[in-house]
Amino acid sequence: MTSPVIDELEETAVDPDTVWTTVVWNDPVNLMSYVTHVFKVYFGFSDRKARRLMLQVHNEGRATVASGTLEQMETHVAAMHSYGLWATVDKG
Amino acid sequence: MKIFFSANEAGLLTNLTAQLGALVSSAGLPVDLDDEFAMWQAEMDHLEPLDHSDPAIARLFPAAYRNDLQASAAFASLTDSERRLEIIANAQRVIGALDEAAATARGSEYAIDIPNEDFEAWIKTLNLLRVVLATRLGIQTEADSEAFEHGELSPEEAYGYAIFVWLGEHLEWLLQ
Repeated sequence: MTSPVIDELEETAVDPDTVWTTVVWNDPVNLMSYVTHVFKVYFGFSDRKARRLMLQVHNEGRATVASGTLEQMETHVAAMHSYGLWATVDKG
Repeated sequence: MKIFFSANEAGLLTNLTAQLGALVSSAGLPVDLDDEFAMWQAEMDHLEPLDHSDPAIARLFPAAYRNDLQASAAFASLTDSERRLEIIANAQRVIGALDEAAATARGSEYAIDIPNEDFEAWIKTLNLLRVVLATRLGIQTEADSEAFEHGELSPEEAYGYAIFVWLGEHLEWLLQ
Protein backbone atom coordinates (compact mmCIF):
# COMPACT_ATOMS: atom_id res chain seq x y z
CA MET A 1 0.00 0.00 0.00
CA THR A 2 1.51 3.31 -1.02
CA SER A 3 1.33 6.45 1.01
CA PRO A 4 -0.50 9.35 -0.63
CA VAL A 5 2.30 11.66 0.53
CA ILE A 6 4.89 9.64 -1.35
CA ASP A 7 2.67 9.56 -4.42
CA GLU A 8 2.48 13.33 -4.37
CA LEU A 9 6.24 13.67 -3.96
CA GLU A 10 6.85 11.36 -6.89
CA GLU A 11 4.49 13.33 -9.04
CA THR A 12 6.14 16.69 -8.42
CA ALA A 13 9.77 15.53 -8.44
CA VAL A 14 11.75 16.45 -11.55
CA ASP A 15 12.00 13.38 -13.70
CA PRO A 16 14.93 13.55 -16.10
CA ASP A 17 13.03 11.25 -18.46
CA THR A 18 9.99 13.53 -18.69
CA VAL A 19 9.27 14.42 -22.29
CA TRP A 20 8.21 18.00 -22.81
CA THR A 21 6.41 19.32 -25.85
CA THR A 22 5.85 22.57 -27.72
CA VAL A 23 2.17 23.17 -28.48
CA VAL A 24 1.02 25.80 -30.98
CA TRP A 25 -2.54 27.11 -30.55
CA ASN A 26 -5.00 28.45 -33.10
CA ASP A 27 -5.74 32.16 -33.23
CA PRO A 28 -7.68 34.33 -35.68
CA VAL A 29 -4.71 36.52 -36.66
CA ASN A 30 -1.92 34.40 -38.06
CA LEU A 31 -2.31 33.61 -41.76
CA MET A 32 -2.11 29.97 -42.85
CA SER A 33 0.77 30.79 -45.21
CA TYR A 34 2.61 32.53 -42.37
CA VAL A 35 2.25 29.64 -39.90
CA THR A 36 3.43 27.19 -42.57
CA HIS A 37 6.43 29.42 -43.31
CA VAL A 38 7.37 29.63 -39.62
CA PHE A 39 7.22 25.83 -39.24
CA LYS A 40 9.41 25.36 -42.32
CA VAL A 41 11.98 28.05 -41.54
CA TYR A 42 12.31 27.57 -37.80
CA PHE A 43 11.90 23.80 -37.43
CA GLY A 44 13.17 22.88 -40.90
CA PHE A 45 10.01 20.87 -41.64
CA SER A 46 9.19 19.84 -45.20
CA ASP A 47 6.44 21.79 -46.92
CA ARG A 48 4.12 18.81 -46.51
CA LYS A 49 4.76 18.39 -42.76
CA ALA A 50 4.55 22.14 -42.12
CA ARG A 51 1.17 22.32 -43.92
CA ARG A 52 -0.16 19.26 -42.09
CA LEU A 53 0.72 20.77 -38.69
CA MET A 54 -0.64 24.18 -39.70
CA LEU A 55 -3.95 22.57 -40.72
CA GLN A 56 -4.02 20.64 -37.44
CA VAL A 57 -3.65 23.93 -35.55
CA HIS A 58 -6.38 25.50 -37.67
CA ASN A 59 -8.86 22.59 -37.57
CA GLU A 60 -8.26 21.09 -34.12
CA GLY A 61 -7.22 24.23 -32.27
CA ARG A 62 -3.74 23.02 -31.39
CA ALA A 63 -0.83 20.91 -32.59
CA THR A 64 2.24 19.47 -30.92
CA VAL A 65 5.13 20.61 -33.10
CA ALA A 66 8.18 19.46 -31.11
CA SER A 67 9.22 17.32 -28.15
CA GLY A 68 12.38 17.06 -26.08
CA THR A 69 13.95 18.57 -22.99
CA LEU A 70 12.37 21.42 -21.06
CA GLU A 71 15.17 23.78 -22.09
CA GLN A 72 14.71 22.94 -25.78
CA MET A 73 10.94 23.47 -25.55
CA GLU A 74 11.35 26.85 -23.82
CA THR A 75 13.67 27.92 -26.65
CA HIS A 76 11.07 26.81 -29.23
CA VAL A 77 8.21 28.55 -27.40
CA ALA A 78 10.18 31.82 -27.17
CA ALA A 79 10.89 31.55 -30.91
CA MET A 80 7.20 30.93 -31.71
CA HIS A 81 6.27 33.97 -29.59
CA SER A 82 8.82 36.05 -31.49
CA TYR A 83 6.88 35.23 -34.68
CA GLY A 84 3.61 36.21 -33.01
CA LEU A 85 2.38 32.61 -32.72
CA TRP A 86 0.65 31.52 -29.53
CA ALA A 87 2.63 28.57 -28.10
CA THR A 88 3.06 26.85 -24.74
CA VAL A 89 5.36 24.31 -23.10
CA ASP A 90 3.45 21.17 -22.20
CA LYS A 91 4.17 17.71 -20.83
CA GLY A 92 4.23 15.00 -23.47
CA MET B 1 12.24 40.07 -52.84
CA LYS B 2 10.54 43.36 -53.68
CA ILE B 3 7.66 45.02 -51.86
CA PHE B 4 5.70 47.97 -53.18
CA PHE B 5 4.10 50.92 -51.40
CA SER B 6 2.67 54.28 -52.27
CA ALA B 7 4.28 57.18 -50.40
CA ASN B 8 1.20 57.39 -48.15
CA GLU B 9 1.31 53.67 -47.38
CA ALA B 10 5.02 53.88 -46.58
CA GLY B 11 4.32 56.77 -44.22
CA LEU B 12 1.57 54.77 -42.50
CA LEU B 13 3.79 51.70 -42.13
CA THR B 14 6.62 53.81 -40.73
CA ASN B 15 4.25 55.29 -38.17
CA LEU B 16 2.78 51.91 -37.14
CA THR B 17 6.22 50.29 -36.91
CA ALA B 18 7.50 53.15 -34.74
CA GLN B 19 4.51 52.63 -32.45
CA LEU B 20 5.32 48.92 -32.18
CA GLY B 21 8.90 49.78 -31.21
CA ALA B 22 7.68 52.28 -28.66
CA LEU B 23 5.14 49.81 -27.24
CA VAL B 24 7.82 47.27 -26.32
CA SER B 25 10.58 49.72 -25.44
CA SER B 26 8.54 51.51 -22.82
CA ALA B 27 4.78 51.10 -22.84
CA GLY B 28 2.84 54.29 -22.48
CA LEU B 29 5.57 56.82 -23.31
CA PRO B 30 4.57 59.39 -25.93
CA VAL B 31 6.38 58.77 -29.20
CA ASP B 32 8.51 61.54 -30.65
CA LEU B 33 8.66 60.28 -34.21
CA ASP B 34 11.52 62.61 -35.11
CA ASP B 35 13.75 61.15 -32.44
CA GLU B 36 12.65 57.53 -32.21
CA PHE B 37 16.07 55.98 -32.75
CA ALA B 38 17.65 58.06 -30.02
CA MET B 39 14.77 57.20 -27.71
CA TRP B 40 14.97 53.47 -28.33
CA GLN B 41 18.75 53.46 -28.09
CA ALA B 42 18.61 55.17 -24.71
CA GLU B 43 16.03 52.73 -23.44
CA MET B 44 17.70 49.57 -24.65
CA ASP B 45 20.00 49.66 -21.63
CA HIS B 46 17.20 50.42 -19.21
CA LEU B 47 14.07 48.61 -20.29
CA GLU B 48 11.22 49.27 -17.92
CA PRO B 49 9.05 46.28 -16.98
CA LEU B 50 6.33 45.46 -19.49
CA ASP B 51 2.75 46.33 -18.60
CA HIS B 52 1.08 42.94 -18.98
CA SER B 53 -2.33 44.47 -18.20
CA ASP B 54 -2.16 45.96 -21.72
CA PRO B 55 -3.86 43.29 -23.90
CA ALA B 56 -1.40 43.91 -26.75
CA ILE B 57 1.56 43.28 -24.45
CA ALA B 58 -0.17 40.20 -23.02
CA ARG B 59 -0.65 38.87 -26.56
CA LEU B 60 2.89 39.69 -27.73
CA PHE B 61 4.37 38.12 -24.58
CA PRO B 62 1.97 35.30 -23.69
CA ALA B 63 2.34 32.87 -20.80
CA ALA B 64 4.60 29.96 -21.75
CA TYR B 65 2.81 27.56 -19.37
CA ARG B 66 -0.95 27.25 -19.37
CA ASN B 67 -1.47 26.46 -15.69
CA ASP B 68 1.74 27.54 -14.03
CA LEU B 69 2.04 31.24 -13.24
CA GLN B 70 5.39 30.80 -11.49
CA ALA B 71 7.03 28.95 -14.39
CA SER B 72 5.54 31.45 -16.84
CA ALA B 73 6.97 34.36 -14.84
CA ALA B 74 10.40 32.69 -14.72
CA PHE B 75 10.24 32.12 -18.48
CA ALA B 76 9.26 35.77 -19.06
CA SER B 77 12.13 37.05 -16.92
CA LEU B 78 14.57 34.99 -19.00
CA THR B 79 13.20 35.79 -22.45
CA ASP B 80 11.34 39.15 -22.44
CA SER B 81 14.35 41.46 -22.74
CA GLU B 82 15.87 39.61 -25.66
CA ARG B 83 12.51 39.45 -27.42
CA ARG B 84 11.88 43.17 -26.88
CA LEU B 85 15.27 44.06 -28.32
CA GLU B 86 14.62 41.81 -31.31
CA ILE B 87 11.28 43.53 -32.01
CA ILE B 88 12.99 46.93 -31.78
CA ALA B 89 15.89 45.87 -34.02
CA ASN B 90 13.48 44.45 -36.62
CA ALA B 91 11.38 47.62 -36.49
CA GLN B 92 14.52 49.69 -37.06
CA ARG B 93 15.40 47.65 -40.16
CA VAL B 94 11.92 48.14 -41.61
CA ILE B 95 11.84 51.87 -40.84
CA GLY B 96 15.37 52.25 -42.21
CA ALA B 97 14.35 50.67 -45.52
CA LEU B 98 11.20 52.82 -45.71
CA ASP B 99 13.21 55.98 -44.96
CA GLU B 100 15.74 55.10 -47.61
CA ALA B 101 12.97 54.47 -50.14
CA ALA B 102 11.44 57.85 -49.33
CA ALA B 103 14.81 59.55 -49.81
CA THR B 104 15.64 57.89 -53.12
CA ALA B 105 12.24 57.30 -54.78
CA ARG B 106 11.38 59.03 -58.02
CA GLY B 107 7.68 59.70 -57.82
CA SER B 108 5.19 58.52 -55.24
CA GLU B 109 5.57 54.74 -55.74
CA TYR B 110 8.22 52.96 -53.70
CA ALA B 111 9.73 49.60 -54.67
CA ILE B 112 11.75 48.31 -51.72
CA ASP B 113 14.29 45.54 -52.25
CA ILE B 114 14.34 43.34 -49.17
CA PRO B 115 17.66 41.51 -48.84
CA ASN B 116 17.44 37.87 -47.72
CA GLU B 117 18.94 38.66 -44.33
CA ASP B 118 16.14 41.17 -43.62
CA PHE B 119 13.27 38.95 -44.79
CA GLU B 120 12.39 37.50 -41.37
CA ALA B 121 12.59 41.00 -39.82
CA TRP B 122 10.01 42.22 -42.33
CA ILE B 123 7.54 39.38 -42.01
CA LYS B 124 7.81 39.30 -38.21
CA THR B 125 7.21 43.04 -38.02
CA LEU B 126 4.23 42.95 -40.39
CA ASN B 127 2.73 40.04 -38.46
CA LEU B 128 3.28 41.58 -35.01
CA LEU B 129 1.58 44.75 -36.27
CA ARG B 130 -1.41 42.57 -37.21
CA VAL B 131 -1.32 40.93 -33.76
CA VAL B 132 -1.33 44.32 -32.00
CA LEU B 133 -4.05 45.75 -34.27
CA ALA B 134 -6.21 42.66 -33.67
CA THR B 135 -6.01 43.11 -29.90
CA ARG B 136 -6.80 46.82 -30.23
CA LEU B 137 -9.82 46.01 -32.42
CA GLY B 138 -10.94 43.15 -30.15
CA ILE B 139 -10.38 40.33 -32.65
CA GLN B 140 -9.70 37.42 -30.31
CA THR B 141 -11.67 34.54 -31.77
CA GLU B 142 -12.64 33.20 -35.18
CA ALA B 143 -16.16 34.56 -34.51
CA ASP B 144 -14.72 38.07 -33.96
CA SER B 145 -12.82 37.70 -37.20
CA GLU B 146 -16.04 36.74 -39.06
CA ALA B 147 -17.87 39.68 -37.51
CA PHE B 148 -15.21 42.11 -38.73
CA GLU B 149 -15.19 40.59 -42.19
CA HIS B 150 -18.95 40.62 -42.71
CA GLY B 151 -20.54 42.76 -39.99
CA GLU B 152 -21.36 46.42 -39.55
CA LEU B 153 -18.36 48.41 -38.31
CA SER B 154 -17.94 51.88 -36.89
CA PRO B 155 -15.74 54.20 -39.01
CA GLU B 156 -12.84 53.67 -36.57
CA GLU B 157 -13.24 49.90 -36.66
CA ALA B 158 -13.50 49.91 -40.45
CA TYR B 159 -10.30 51.97 -40.72
CA GLY B 160 -8.39 49.73 -38.29
CA TYR B 161 -9.65 46.57 -39.97
CA ALA B 162 -8.71 47.90 -43.42
CA ILE B 163 -5.13 48.37 -42.16
CA PHE B 164 -5.19 44.86 -40.65
CA VAL B 165 -6.24 43.39 -44.02
CA TRP B 166 -3.75 45.57 -45.92
CA LEU B 167 -0.88 44.32 -43.71
CA GLY B 168 -2.05 40.75 -44.35
CA GLU B 169 -2.01 41.29 -48.12
CA HIS B 170 1.59 42.51 -47.99
CA LEU B 171 2.55 39.61 -45.77
CA GLU B 172 0.97 37.16 -48.24
CA TRP B 173 2.83 38.88 -51.06
CA LEU B 174 6.18 38.36 -49.33
CA LEU B 175 5.38 34.72 -48.53
CA GLN B 176 4.38 33.82 -52.11
